Amino acid sequence: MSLVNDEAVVLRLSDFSETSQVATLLSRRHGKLRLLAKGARRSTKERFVPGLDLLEWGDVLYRPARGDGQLGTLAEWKQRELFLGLRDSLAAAQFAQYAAEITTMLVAEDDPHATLFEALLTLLGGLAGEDAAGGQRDGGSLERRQRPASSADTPSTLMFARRLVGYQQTLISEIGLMPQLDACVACGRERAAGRAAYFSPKSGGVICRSCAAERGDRLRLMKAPALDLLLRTAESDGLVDSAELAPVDLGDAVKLALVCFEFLDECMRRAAERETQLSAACARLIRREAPGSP
Amino acid sequence: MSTQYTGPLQRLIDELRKLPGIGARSAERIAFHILKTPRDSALALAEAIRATKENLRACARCFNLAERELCDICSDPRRDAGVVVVVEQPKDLINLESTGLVGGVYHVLLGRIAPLDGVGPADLTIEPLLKRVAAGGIREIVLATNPTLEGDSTALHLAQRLEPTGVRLTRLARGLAPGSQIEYANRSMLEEAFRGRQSV
Ligand SMILES: [Zn+2]
Ligand SMILES: [Zn+2]
Repeated sequence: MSLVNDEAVVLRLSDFSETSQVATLLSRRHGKLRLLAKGARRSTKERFVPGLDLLEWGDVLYRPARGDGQLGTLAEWKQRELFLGLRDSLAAAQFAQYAAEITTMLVAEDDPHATLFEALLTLLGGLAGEDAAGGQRDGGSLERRQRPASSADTPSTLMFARRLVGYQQTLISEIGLMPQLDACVACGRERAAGRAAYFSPKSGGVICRSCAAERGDRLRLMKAPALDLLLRTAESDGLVDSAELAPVDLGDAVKLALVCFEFLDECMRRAAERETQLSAACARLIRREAPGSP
Repeated sequence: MSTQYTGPLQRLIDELRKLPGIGARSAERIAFHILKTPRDSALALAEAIRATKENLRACARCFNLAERELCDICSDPRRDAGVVVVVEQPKDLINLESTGLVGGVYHVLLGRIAPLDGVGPADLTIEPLLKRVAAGGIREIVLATNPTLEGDSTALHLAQRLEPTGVRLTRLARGLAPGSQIEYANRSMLEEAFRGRQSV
């Protein structure tokens, strides 16, 4: 089969042999790809050829897999952007790797999602502090680390968390798993904005108490701010205006980000019927932003 | 490829196939080569494997490969124990050592923080490193983890843990392209990276 070119972000690298790796990529036009990268870790005599690295964005030339469950072959990789800023903040690196993990987990091979690809680039750029809306860097850089990490981390980690929630939401909507939050999944009665509601993980959406009783669902109360935020993020394609959404109180803002993160995370793990490596660590990072937490 | 050889020969082929980069064909070729080889040289291979597994262990101080309690580098009085170069794995140490630039000693982490693989800080030799620093006598720590996302994050984590100790922290210069690996870097690049190391 002939070679195909596309652009892609590296989601996962696993060693295949002493000199080769299996690279899982999210490409713009061909969805998730699993490619064997031969000699990806080797250097030449004259010049070091940097191997692929996690979460970098580049142009890929590859030979597609011959059949289901087979690996394609990576022929060429040209780096476009490394998102070096991810290496200046432990929170940014963890959030980015969590995004890679859920993307790998939920996107099927050969199922293109250009919107998702774009959202991933936006997320990585934001976490790497490469756009104006990204807020200040958290000062974690090895070169620039002057201020104590605890106080300097606060604003940007929360900003990063909001971006991450936006990406979770884009991912979950793109693969058609976004729970229904604006009306009861059973009878269709609309939830009034600004009102709390019950959520049923089993039925995959908000539900009235009477409908839930009929179905015997277990319920969880979801407060209005989280529901409203999730709905507004959904309407805006995951690109939230963080200023508009920022509650005045830092503690409230952290709580809200955490509730949304954990809610979407749980929806995804439930859909994939799998546990994740990074969910707990990300939740811990967000929780730590609350004032007065150790 | 499903030919079954008689007992021991098949066992040898099966074992060889587990080695990295050895496929079914090569395993068969090597097995037949060993079969033809004189007894003494064939057993020398077996003995070398046994000695490696039984006599090599992690150095009690730096976790480099060692034949005794301390490795050759830690037990060499000419090395400057005040400068500790922190690497991910023994192969990186060997490659850096080949530059001849490191007058200090090492600390091998035995991995890097790799959350996607489920490897966290507690899986590495970070606690022993902190204990080494607390014991005193260390002036500089060179963070020589790979310039990959995981290696850089590991260095950042170490920098945050080591900062309160007040020891001078340096990082290899960017002679190594981001995304590259020390294990595969050539000598001139490593020299450039080591000479140009910067304070963190
Ligand atoms: Zn209802
Ligand atoms: Zn040693």
